Parts: sequence; C-alpha cells; structure tokens
Amino acid sequence: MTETLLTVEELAVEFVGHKSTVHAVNGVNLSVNAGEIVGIVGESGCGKSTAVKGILGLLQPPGKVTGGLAEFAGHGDLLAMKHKNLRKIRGANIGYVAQNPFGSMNPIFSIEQQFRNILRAHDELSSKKLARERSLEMLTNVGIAGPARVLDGYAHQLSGGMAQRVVIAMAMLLEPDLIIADEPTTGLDVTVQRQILDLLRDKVVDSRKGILLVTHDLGVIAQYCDRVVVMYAGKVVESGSVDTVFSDPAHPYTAALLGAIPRPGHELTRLRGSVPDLRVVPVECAFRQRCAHAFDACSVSPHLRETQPRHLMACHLPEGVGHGAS
Amino acid sequence: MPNKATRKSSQLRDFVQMHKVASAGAFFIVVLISVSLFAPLPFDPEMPNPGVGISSPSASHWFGTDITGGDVFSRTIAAAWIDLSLALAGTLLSLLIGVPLGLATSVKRRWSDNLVRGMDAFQAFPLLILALVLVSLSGNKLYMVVVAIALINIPRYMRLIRSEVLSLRESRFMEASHAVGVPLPRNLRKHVLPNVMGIITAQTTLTMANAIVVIATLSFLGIGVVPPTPSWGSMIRSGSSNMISGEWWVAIFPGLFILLCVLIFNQLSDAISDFNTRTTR
Amino acid sequence: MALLEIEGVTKHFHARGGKGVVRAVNQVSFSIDEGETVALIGESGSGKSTLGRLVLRLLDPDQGSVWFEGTDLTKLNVKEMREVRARLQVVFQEPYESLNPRMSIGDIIGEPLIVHNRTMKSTEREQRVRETLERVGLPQEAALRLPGQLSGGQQQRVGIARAIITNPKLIVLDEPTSSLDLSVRAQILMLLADLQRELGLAYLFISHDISTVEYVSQRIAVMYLGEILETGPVSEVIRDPRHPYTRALLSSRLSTDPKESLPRLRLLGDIGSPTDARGIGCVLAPRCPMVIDECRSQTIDLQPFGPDHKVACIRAAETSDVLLSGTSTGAITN
Repeated sequence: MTETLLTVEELAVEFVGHKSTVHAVNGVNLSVNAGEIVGIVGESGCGKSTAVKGILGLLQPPGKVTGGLAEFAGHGDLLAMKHKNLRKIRGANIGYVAQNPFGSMNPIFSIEQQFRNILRAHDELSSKKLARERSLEMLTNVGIAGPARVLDGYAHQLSGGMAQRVVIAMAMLLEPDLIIADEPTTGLDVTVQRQILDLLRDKVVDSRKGILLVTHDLGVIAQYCDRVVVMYAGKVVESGSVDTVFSDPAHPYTAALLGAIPRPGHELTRLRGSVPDLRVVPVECAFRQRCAHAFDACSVSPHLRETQPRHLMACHLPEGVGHGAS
Repeated sequence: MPNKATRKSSQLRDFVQMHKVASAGAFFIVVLISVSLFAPLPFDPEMPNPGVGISSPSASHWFGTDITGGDVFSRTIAAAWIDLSLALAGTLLSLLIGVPLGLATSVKRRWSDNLVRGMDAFQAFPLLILALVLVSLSGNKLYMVVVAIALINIPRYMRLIRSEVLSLRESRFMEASHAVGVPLPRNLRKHVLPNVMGIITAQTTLTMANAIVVIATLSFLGIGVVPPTPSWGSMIRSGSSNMISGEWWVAIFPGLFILLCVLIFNQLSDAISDFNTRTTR
Repeated sequence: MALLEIEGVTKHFHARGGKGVVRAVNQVSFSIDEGETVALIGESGSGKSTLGRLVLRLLDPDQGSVWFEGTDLTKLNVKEMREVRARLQVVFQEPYESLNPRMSIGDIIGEPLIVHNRTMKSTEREQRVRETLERVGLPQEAALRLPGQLSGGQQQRVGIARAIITNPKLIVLDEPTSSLDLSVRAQILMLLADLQRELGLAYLFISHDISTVEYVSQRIAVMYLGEILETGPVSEVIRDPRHPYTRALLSSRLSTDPKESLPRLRLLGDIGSPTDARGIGCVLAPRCPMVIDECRSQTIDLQPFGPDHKVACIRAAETSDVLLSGTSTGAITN
C-alpha cells in the first residue's frame, strides 16, 4: 500500500508585470508517494523551480499561484491554506532544500543558533541541551564527522558540500515526511554530488519518506529517481517511471532531450528554435514550433493522458514517438 | 549610424515611461530655467519699491512683497536662473575634473594610491567652511562659488569612479577584452566609460542637489550671490526676521523652491540608478 | 614542433593573511598540435582554469615557459603579446558575463579586427562580421542587439564569433558549455566541432565534465591540485584509466542510462585544498586507496604507460587489479 504524500493538479503560476503577464507555470500535475524519489527535470525557464515554490507558498510578488491544487497527505490543499498553517507545515512536515545552501543560512548566527531557531519556531525542545543533542545527531546523520565543530561555527567556514549537508540536516531536523530539494547539487563537484544524493536516497529508503527533486541533470534522474516528471514551457509533458521514460520516451521533447546527451559516435539531435514566449497564453501545443512530428491537431494544446499504466504524456500522437533515443 | 540614434531616443522614451514622476520633475526644472531666463517678469526683481512696503500675497503680487517692496514672485523666479546656473557650472566643473581623476586613480600604481590618500586628507577638512573662506576672500566673486562647489564634490566623483572601475576590472568582459588584446586607451573609452556613464549621471544629479544647497547656504550667510541680485538663500535670510512678525511669505517661497529643486534632483538620481539596473539584464 | 608547448609551468598564489601558499599549478607540461583538441579535466581546486589563463598569458607563470608557434610567450612585451593574441583566443564559461553589456553584438564581434587589423576599412570589417555571424549560426539582425537581448546559447555563439574572427590557431575554451542547458549544449558542441574542421582550429578544452569532452576531444589531461596525473588519447584513458584519481573521477559520473550503474571507486575524504602544504610525493597520497610509503617520499612524474599514454603513478600497472572490485574501497570522512 503506497501512501501518496503529495498530489498536485493543474498548478498555475503567473508573474504580473506592468506591461505583461508571464505564465510561468501552466498545468503541472504530479504525485509523490512514500518511499520514492520523484525528479522534475527541465531546462532553464521551464518553470520547475517556480512550480515547487508555488506549492510551498514561497513565491515572491509579482508571482502568485493562480490555479490548481496541492493535496498534502492528511493536511489538505496547501494552496488553499492560511499562511499561518502553511508555515507550520513547512519545516515540520515538508522540508525544503534550496539551490544555494549559503542563501538558506544566516551568516550572523552560529549554526547551532540556527538549528535552535528552527526547533523553537515549531515549539519543540526549548531546552538548550536537548536542542544541541538533537542537532549533533542530525549533523552526524548527514555524514559530517566532527559535528560539534560545525555546530559551533558559522556558515562562511563551510565548503559548498558541507554547507549543503548542513542545510539538508536543517530540513530534516523535524523529521518531515516529504523533502523538496531544488537543484541541491548544481555547482558542486561530481564526487560531492554523489555523496549528497546518496545521503538523500538513504533517508528515503530507510524511513518511507518521499523526495521531490528538481534538477536539469539527466544523470541525476537516471541514477537516483524512481519516477520522473518532464517539464517544458510551464507544463508537464511527460511523467512515468524512470526506466520506461528513458528507454521509451513518448513525448517528442523528452526524446529530443535524451538525444542531446553527448555520447561518442552518437549523432546529437538537432533541436531547432527556442522556448515559446510565456507572456502569451498558449493555445497550441507549446512544443509545436520545434517538433518534427507536428500535425494539424497540434494547434490545440494537448492534455496529459495515460498511454501505459502510470505513464502519462501530453501529445496528440497516439503512441508518442515510439522507440526513443538510447 | 541610424540605429544608435534610434536606440538612444527609445531609451529616453522608456525612461520617461518607467519614471513618470522624476521625468515630470526634470521637465519642471527645464521650464523653470527657461522662464527665469527668458520670460518677462511682472516686476523688476532688483528694484525696490519702498512705497509698497511689505504685503501678503495678493492678485498683483502672487507671492507678496518683502520689506523693500520687491515682488517676492519675481525675485524667486529670477533667482532660479542664477542659483541653478551656478549649481550647474559647479557640477560640470566637478565632473570634468572628478571623472578623469577617478579614472586615473583606478590604475594600480603607487602614485594613484598616494593621490587617493591625499584626497582623504582633503576631505577631512570641513569643506563648506573652506568654501565660505574662499568665496568671501575673493570678494564674493561668482566664479569662486563655482570653484567652491567643485572642491566639495570632486572627491565624491573620484571615489565613485574609482570604486566602480575597480569592480569593473574584476568582471569577465574586461578579462575578455584583455584577452582580445584591446589596448588601454580603447579599453577606457569603449568598455569602461560606457559602463560608468550611468553612475556618473546619477551622481551628477545628486551633485546638483548638493550644489543648490551650498549656494543657498553661502548666500544665506551673505557670501557669494549678494543683494540686490536675487538668490534664494539671501531671500530666506532677509525673510527670516519677518517670520516672527508673522510675514511668512518672504522666506517660505524661496525655501519651497529650494526644497522642490533638491527633491527633484534626488528623485532623478534614484530614477536613473533604477533605470540603469533594469536595462542591463 | 607542436603548436603549443608548455614546460614546467608553475603558479603559486600567496593566500591572504599569510595562511600559506596556494599551489595552483605545479610543474605542468603538455603540448597541443595544430588542429587538435586536448581536454583538460579537473574538479574545483585542480588549477585547470588557472592553467588556461597562463596559456593565454592573462597570468604570468612563476616558472616555466609557454611556447606558442615557436615563441616563448613569457618573454614577450605587451605589444608583442598583443600581436600574438590575434592567433590565440579564448571563450569563457559565462556567456553573458564575458560580453560588454552596453556594446552591440556587431561591435563586440568586430572589435578584434579593429585591434589587430588597423588598416582594414570599416566596410570590409562589416563584411567580415556578417560572414562570422553566419558561420556561428546567428541571424544578421543580431548585430544590432545588445547581449542582454539574446539567449544564453546565442550569447555563447557571440563569444565564439569574437574568438574566431581573427583566424586564430588555438582557442582556449574554459568550460564553454557548463552554464548552458542540455539541448543548447549539444548545439554549441556541434558548432565547435564544425568550426574546428572548417578552420583547422586547435582547442584547449577545459571542463569538469568528461562526457562533454569525449565528444570533441582527441587527447585528455587529468588534473588534480595543480598537477597533471594522466594524459593520453581520450578513448584509451576512458577505457583504461591508469591513475586511481582518473578512475575515481570516471566512476563518479552519473550515467544517463538508468539501467547502467558504474562501479564506484571512492577516494578517502573530500577534495584537497591547494593550500595543503606538500613538498614531495604524490598529490593524491592523502586520499588514495592504493597508497604505499614510496608514494609519499618520491617525486612522482608522468611516466609513459603505452604509446602516448602517460600516468603519474608508481603503481599504474596494478590499478585495474587492485581496484577491479570497484565499489566502496574507502569510507567517506571529512
């Protein structure tokens, strides 16, 4: 019995400027179950970070959620919640790891103070001693040897990899059921990347939590995620298990993306054109102008539909593009 | 090239659209100066009219009259040209000396460090007092007012340019131009200057604001622009004694104009800075 | 003679606060032939970017020589060096940052001609700019735009255009695709490969991503903490990495095939810092799972291992035997 932790339906986010409105997210549908890692993959500007921030209520004006629902197990629709309640859930039930670890830490406070602040904000453990013990335990859990030294120190004394580990410890401090990580390893060296991702994966497998991982790196998806959600121009265009999507991509964009991976002796797919202007509300399929298979029906934006069990895609081609690049 | 001109004019249009208030203020200044310079005033600003004496604002004297019977409105408007043009002259002088100085001191040499230290020492003086001394010693010559303003503001330009160029030097495109082999003079002209222009413009409007206050301060103290030449500062001074007896209009109107002009230039500076940051990404 | 030959190049920086010396590049030697691509691979702190700058003489080496077309660049004065730059160009990592935000694209691309071909008429220059735009796949109207109005991929094309317009012989590419999206990355790599063929260019391709360089390079040099640990033909080094570091690096790649799981070789600890004091011995010794006493006490140089394959490891012959068991030889500590 897989317990569904998060269900997102038709999420929409807009950025209202003084001259035009950018429809950054225009129909995101996904779900995360306990014990699995779901990856959201897409190129820059596709809306993946925006979507995730929208779910958590972390959008800054002029951005705002304009539609959809985000059902979080046992707590209701996150998008319809009062700020007060959403804030309680963030941290305690859903942990968030942002892309730049140093941006998530306060340079003035010691690491210990920041851990204590988190605990205090959620009315847990007012005793300094207990808080410290819990923090040390968490730091050891994320693979930091010498946690006391880190705890007594400050953010600027940490390397990129260490800082990200500290931020993950902070996110897991209150034992949330779901962790949302937005590009947690971008910019870190490959070896450090592996360590961080292994760490996240261990946490999920052990304790039946769920992880929603946003990344642009197909290698991360291939090696660490159970299911993948492919985004393009603010929409989910394909989602399913990593094995099926990678070996048999149905949507032309997914196929093109996989075909663009540099491999010796392999002809790289030429993907012409560029991402559509999100200031215009799309009527036709957002990928139409760049798609080699476009036909008449594509003048209407396709909806996500199931082509195989638990494999969804948004394309008018009956079977998608069939056997894909691998 | 036709395109550069069209780009500049569309930039101007964008600026006005983005910053309507600041642009309106700029327009007001231009109108004020034009009127002050060219338009016929209802009364001769320098001619006292003892017969009239001090009187409150009325239909014939919109801003009232001062103790010598002079029309406050005419004097206020006439003073605009004098005060603003002096401010402009001082600002331009600061610019012409401060910017090259700033560029010079952004080079990594021993003498440039010494120059910066010299400027530090110079700024340790109370510069307004220095201005006071210089102008009164010269016998209230107007050109000395201009020099005084320049003296006060040159260090600011120098520091601003220097820090901006130093940080520009760390930028990747400067490294790229080095890799291309661009020689120093061209580098300064084509790469450094266009990128500091925005800061210079923003600072210039700030300098104008400061200059207006300096000129008003000097003339308030009876130095620089002296009666019968109308100046906002000296008008405030003579009107301040009237305040006690309830005749507010003599001092308040020129004061209001100073306030307005300073506000407008500060606004413009903000608007330019904002426009700069918004149009480079 | 090779187009580029660097010998014994060393660059040390003095860390601020007197906290020791940063040995960014340490006695590095290698060469690049005409029309060839040599990839320089390394993680952060490896010194690869510093080495790139030393080759371009954007930095001066403390020791060693940089021979380009038979001339030692380190002995040239500013004017002479400037003339050389027409034939030795660079493309940087961040496309937007490397372009003057207030200069039009046409001006940016045409500038090298103004600097190096003083006598060229402006009409001829404009013609050359037009040709170059076409060559890199940019539309003609891009010439009038500002960098901020282009996409990342287009900006990088501008950087490439600027680098090729003076017909250089060698271009140093410092992570040219790392900041770009995957689909754009592919386009730029193809462009670089095409240009190399058409113009007979040689590349020094600096990257941290082996998959990227596999596609465009013939030879590869692996760097760690300022030293080159292994060089050889790309296919051979990847097929049969002889240095434990190369092996660890290759094995930590994330395969984009979900069914393929590369056996991991883990090194002990985190990446070292170039300030760690080292007098003698192998640079990887503190972390190497194969380390023996001699590794710390001897000077380790690049030794030939096969035709054109060099390794700086005294146990290079045993690497595959010792590490064949693959997974987890060594714990992660800090």
